[in-house]
Amino acid sequence: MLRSWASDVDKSFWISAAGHLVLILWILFGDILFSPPEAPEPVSMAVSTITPKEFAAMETAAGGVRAATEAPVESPAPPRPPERPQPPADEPATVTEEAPPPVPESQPEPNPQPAPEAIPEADIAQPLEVPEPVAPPAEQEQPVAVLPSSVMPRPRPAQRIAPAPQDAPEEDVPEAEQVQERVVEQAEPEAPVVTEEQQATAPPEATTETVTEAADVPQLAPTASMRPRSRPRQPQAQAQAQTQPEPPRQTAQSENADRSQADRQATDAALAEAMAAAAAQDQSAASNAQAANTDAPPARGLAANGPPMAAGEIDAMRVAVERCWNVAALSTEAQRAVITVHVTIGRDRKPVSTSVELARSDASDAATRQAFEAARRAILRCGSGGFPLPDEKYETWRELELIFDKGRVGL
Amino acid sequence: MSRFRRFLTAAILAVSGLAPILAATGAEARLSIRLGEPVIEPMPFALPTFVDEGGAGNLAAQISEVVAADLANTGLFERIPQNAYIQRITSFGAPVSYPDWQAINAQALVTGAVQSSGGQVVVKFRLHDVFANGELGEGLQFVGTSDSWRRMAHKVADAVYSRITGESGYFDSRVVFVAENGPKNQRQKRLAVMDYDGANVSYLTDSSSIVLAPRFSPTGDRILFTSYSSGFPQIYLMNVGNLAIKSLGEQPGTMTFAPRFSPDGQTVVFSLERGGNTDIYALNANGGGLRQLTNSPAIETAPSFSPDGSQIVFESDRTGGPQLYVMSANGGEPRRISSGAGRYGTPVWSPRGDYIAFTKQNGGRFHIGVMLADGSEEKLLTASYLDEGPTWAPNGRVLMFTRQDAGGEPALYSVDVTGRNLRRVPVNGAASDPAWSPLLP
Repeated sequence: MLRSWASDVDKSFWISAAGHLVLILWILFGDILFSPPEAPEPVSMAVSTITPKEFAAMETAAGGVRAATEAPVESPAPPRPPERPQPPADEPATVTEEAPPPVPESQPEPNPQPAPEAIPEADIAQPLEVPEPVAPPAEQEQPVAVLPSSVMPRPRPAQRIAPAPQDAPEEDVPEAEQVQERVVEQAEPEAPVVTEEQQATAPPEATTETVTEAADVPQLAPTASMRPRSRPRQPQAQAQAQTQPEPPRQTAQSENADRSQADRQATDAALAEAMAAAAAQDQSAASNAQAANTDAPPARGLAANGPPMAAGEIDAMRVAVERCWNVAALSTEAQRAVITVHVTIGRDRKPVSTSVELARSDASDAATRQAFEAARRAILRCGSGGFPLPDEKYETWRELELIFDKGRVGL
Repeated sequence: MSRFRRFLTAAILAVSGLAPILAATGAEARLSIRLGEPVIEPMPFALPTFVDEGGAGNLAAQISEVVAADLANTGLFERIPQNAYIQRITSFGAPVSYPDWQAINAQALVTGAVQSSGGQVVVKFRLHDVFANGELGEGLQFVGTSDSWRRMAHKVADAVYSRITGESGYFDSRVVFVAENGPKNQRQKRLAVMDYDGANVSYLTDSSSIVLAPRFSPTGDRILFTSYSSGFPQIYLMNVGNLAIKSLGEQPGTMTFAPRFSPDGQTVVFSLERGGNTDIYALNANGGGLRQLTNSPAIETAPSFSPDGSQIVFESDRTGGPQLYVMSANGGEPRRISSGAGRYGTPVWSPRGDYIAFTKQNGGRFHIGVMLADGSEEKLLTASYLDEGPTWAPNGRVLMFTRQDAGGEPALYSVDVTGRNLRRVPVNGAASDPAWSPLLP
């Protein structure tokens, strides 16, 4: 009885011992056999610095080799013709031109009385026949590229000469063998000098603007001071993300000891970084959406796609378009219209002519059309030589929204 | 754990990255710039001489010059000299090389052709937006007799003007005025009509009596004016078609003057002096239905209807000096709208209804000015020894008036409603009291 119990205990002991041994072996060697290979340990290397002069010398030495190994540059493709269909030249006019006002069928014939000295023959205006639309002209391939700077606006013709004369050029002196001083006729010293009373005079005023002859003299003194410009807002979430503590670097020696704790910290850090980045993107998109949906002037230089533009850079762009924005020929309503135009700018800093489109307007259709045409002319004309935009911020100014708002000034 | 960490980070980034994408679908991310200081200068345009498509001869060049002059006279456009053109337009249907016109800074291009046969003239044209590389609107053509070639040129100019500015034109219109000649103690005055630019002057009356203040009807077929033919000023109505004249509102022992049509042409308002007192009256255009609109011991004159016919602006000295007042078209208590220093007179309501033009005397000088219908935003456009009697162009953009310098003869001038582009209308001899017609049919 006792032997059988001992034999049973002995069997279970060995079974338990074998099981524990397998477990211990799996703990000891299982991670080596089944875990993925660990990432290679970072290797630190010593570096040496070179001076800019040495770097320039290296560049110069390598330039010829690089140029010789570059592939030949293909010539650019010729400009594509516009995609508008070309109507036949002899096709009758099928356009839907605005019909002119109806014309009365007949007009009474003049029947002059005998009294006047000169009898008007056609004092009543005879109505002309109804204007007919004209067949559209034949299309010609028009290059898409805008013109070089030769089409920039010409300076206004000056209506007055400069108030002060220029210095006279040096007098030409004839050559001679002997150098002689110039003999100038002088007044006799005894001659009395008669000086008539002379009122003080001043040179005529010069001006840069045409003033109407009405006695509306504008006040030269400023009546209001400009409001200080607000600083461009920094994305708060991004700033917060930048202030987040970086996860502590783990060395190879301590990684095994603090592995579980390091993993938790790294997970938390990654989570915080991702959430901060997402929040920053959300805020940026929301601010752009708000700027697009409201008439309030957006923050200057704030763009979602690239580094912010400096105030001076935005002003340079604004002035570049404004100097071609001519509203003289617009109706009063078109001048008052506030229109928003979207345009894509190429890497050459020139506007893509086909990308100019109207986004919003607060005026009637007719006034909007006139105002948009003037705005489009301004963009294409002054952009033909390229706008003054910083190349490194291409992603920022690639897509532009221009708000043309003259207000009631000058109306 | 490192796998799990990477998976967790990627999942969070992927999910959170959708938010800005979804937000950006509604509004693209664009750098926004606000512009507020445009330039105001004439728009350069090119207008090559219209192509002669047969029988036009010198007519093509004449029509081209009238169209170009119409546009340039507005002060809004500036024609580029033809010797600067790079492309030569030899055929109306020939394609336009826009870069050639961009190179000379032409912002608009007008091409046209003229054909004449059997006394009939056909004028057709196209307007091009040079920097947009396309046409502005569709081409148009006008057909008329050879005698009306100037009107066809004005029609072309009106169409070009309207397409660029968005406003209706005013070139195909006429102006009636008082032509004056002779010494000042024996002044002869006749009614005359001309094109808006001073061409085609013809006379409507002889010089047997003094005539004043002619006014076109809204349809341009009748003219009201004041004549001294009876020894006293009386208003008359002339049929422009047959020059027939009839007295209007004649009242024994009274003087009538300063007439003007209502916008529908059915009513005439005017001033009537009776017993030393002048008030404003109205009557039907056929001469009946006389009714008094004002009743004041003051001198009230120069009435002018608003474009909708509901109100009348007039001049009255009921508060001392002459000022401007507005009342209902049926009379009633007027309200004063002028408030500045000086004397206001000859108010005329703009065809657009926004402005009222007037004559103002202040500080020894005369002005032509405009103000909004409520009297606000008064703006003086001119200043001289004597400026008076403004009249509106059919589109309400330009004013014409009489100017006389000290010791000089009266002449007609025009000015833009903004105060720019003041210029003299070229009329031979002295002229005064202009009144613009509506656009001709």
